[in-house]
Amino acid sequence: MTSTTIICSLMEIRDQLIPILQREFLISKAIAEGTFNDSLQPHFVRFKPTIHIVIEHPYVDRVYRDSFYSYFSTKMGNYKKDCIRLSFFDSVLMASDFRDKDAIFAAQSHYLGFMVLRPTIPSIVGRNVISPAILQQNNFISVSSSFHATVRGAKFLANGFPHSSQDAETISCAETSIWAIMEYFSSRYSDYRPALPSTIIKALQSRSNDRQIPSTGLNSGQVGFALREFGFGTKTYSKEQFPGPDFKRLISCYIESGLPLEILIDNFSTAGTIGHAVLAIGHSKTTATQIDKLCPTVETDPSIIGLITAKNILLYDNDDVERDLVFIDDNHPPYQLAPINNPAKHYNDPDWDLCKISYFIVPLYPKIYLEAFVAKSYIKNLLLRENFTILPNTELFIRTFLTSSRSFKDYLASEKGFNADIKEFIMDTPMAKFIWVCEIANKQLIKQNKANGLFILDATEPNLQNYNPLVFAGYSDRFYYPDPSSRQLNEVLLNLGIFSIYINNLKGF
Amino acid sequence: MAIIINEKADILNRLNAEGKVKTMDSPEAIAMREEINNQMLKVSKDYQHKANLSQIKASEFTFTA
Repeated sequence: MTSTTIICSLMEIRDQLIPILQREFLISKAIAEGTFNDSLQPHFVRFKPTIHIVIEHPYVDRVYRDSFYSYFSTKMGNYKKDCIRLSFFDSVLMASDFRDKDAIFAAQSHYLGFMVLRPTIPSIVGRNVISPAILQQNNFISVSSSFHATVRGAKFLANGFPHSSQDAETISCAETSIWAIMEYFSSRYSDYRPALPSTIIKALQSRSNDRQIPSTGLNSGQVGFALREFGFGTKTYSKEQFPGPDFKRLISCYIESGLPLEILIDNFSTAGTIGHAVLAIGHSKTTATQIDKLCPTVETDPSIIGLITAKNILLYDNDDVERDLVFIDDNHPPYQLAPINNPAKHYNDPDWDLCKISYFIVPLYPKIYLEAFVAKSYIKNLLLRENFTILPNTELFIRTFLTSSRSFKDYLASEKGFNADIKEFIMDTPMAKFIWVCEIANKQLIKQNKANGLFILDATEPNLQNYNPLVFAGYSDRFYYPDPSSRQLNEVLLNLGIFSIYINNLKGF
Repeated sequence: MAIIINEKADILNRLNAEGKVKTMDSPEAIAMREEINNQMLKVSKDYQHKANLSQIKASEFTFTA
């Protein structure tokens, strides 16, 4: 058995790939053409026309091999165990480019990811990591990571978010989304391990009354259980329990924190039968128009409403900005943009159009004990109750997110806009591994990606009494901090200055 | 020669000397702290109730599409 490599352009991929699909997956030409049209063409039509593709086969893919040995090989049918791999570059390629050190180094900057094709007709798109830069339309920001790959034996790094279609037998949408979350987190943090399909199935043995394969999907309790087994402190939020604008704000806040969310959409409320799991990993880039159109936040907490009215201020929440979310949907190519109130817009189907987000699950680091709903309320109470100089008719734009104190201090170390004394004060303050940050600005400042207020909370402290979670609270001409021994609040009269906002989570705003 | 860095303490000492640091221990400040304490107790209880119901309701539906 020998490996075969074909290098071709996007225009040539169909003619090159269909005979390979026929031969390698033992299917007729008609089925190969149908599979290409239905499963692959939707990916390729979104690519820039300058893309060149390296086709390699046979290819051993660890995710498919896991499904093969645990399931497909136990069936009577003749299932192949090898896959085909496609690698994408945005430059013309020669075979010799992968046999020269300098050429390989140059090719890395043009490498845009890979896609595995597995012999599970018709859902042949397997594990793939594709850079958003490959797309003709990529006006969004999202979390991403780096994944090791090879092309013709040479090592490359693919940047993007992991995606796969469901094979609908060993994994449905729910298991695929768990797999993608673990694939992402394990590539970034050593606390986590990748979860192959059989690992996910095994983790859920104790939570399943029926046989687990062929898969008939999972409920959110099982999804949350699996993620907890794999090391997360998961939280589930229901639209019914967080009504009005709160649910959307929570989704937005966690996405701004750079956390991929397990989003559960359904049309059950319209007597439909669709229940689907997708991931939300980012949002469309924020425009000045969106900021200008933003209305003052509609508060659901009566005490906050009272404070806003008493102080006669205009409070705007970044989590109210109307942005599209970036979805990783195993029924579609990665990076689908859709509004939060129409998460299945990309299906172009009347039944799917009725789908709404009913629940979402956030995979938190297990030591994050202070969650978003309470953290945001605490920040607003501090901002509006403490003695900050907030004049009537002041515009306050708040942007709240989670981040690691390590990343935040790294950003702060080189941020020149901050008052130098306050910067050193914060840098020298011990913090938990994860912190809640709230940047305070107005519309004018935030359009320039600037702010003039900063709150920092300890995300490991859920006890909100006596300023326990407070690390730093500063706006305009003063800041507050709790004395470390007495927890007595101290006030310091010092102007924060105007500084650039933190954009490390999604690499943009 | 070793360099000892303790900028936070130096900054606070200087600002203290300039009269820019104040401990919030007045009756008004203590009352404000209590007000925030009480409000956040309510918010936490409200959240716990919603979180528990979220878990229960979400488990009723299977996602498979």
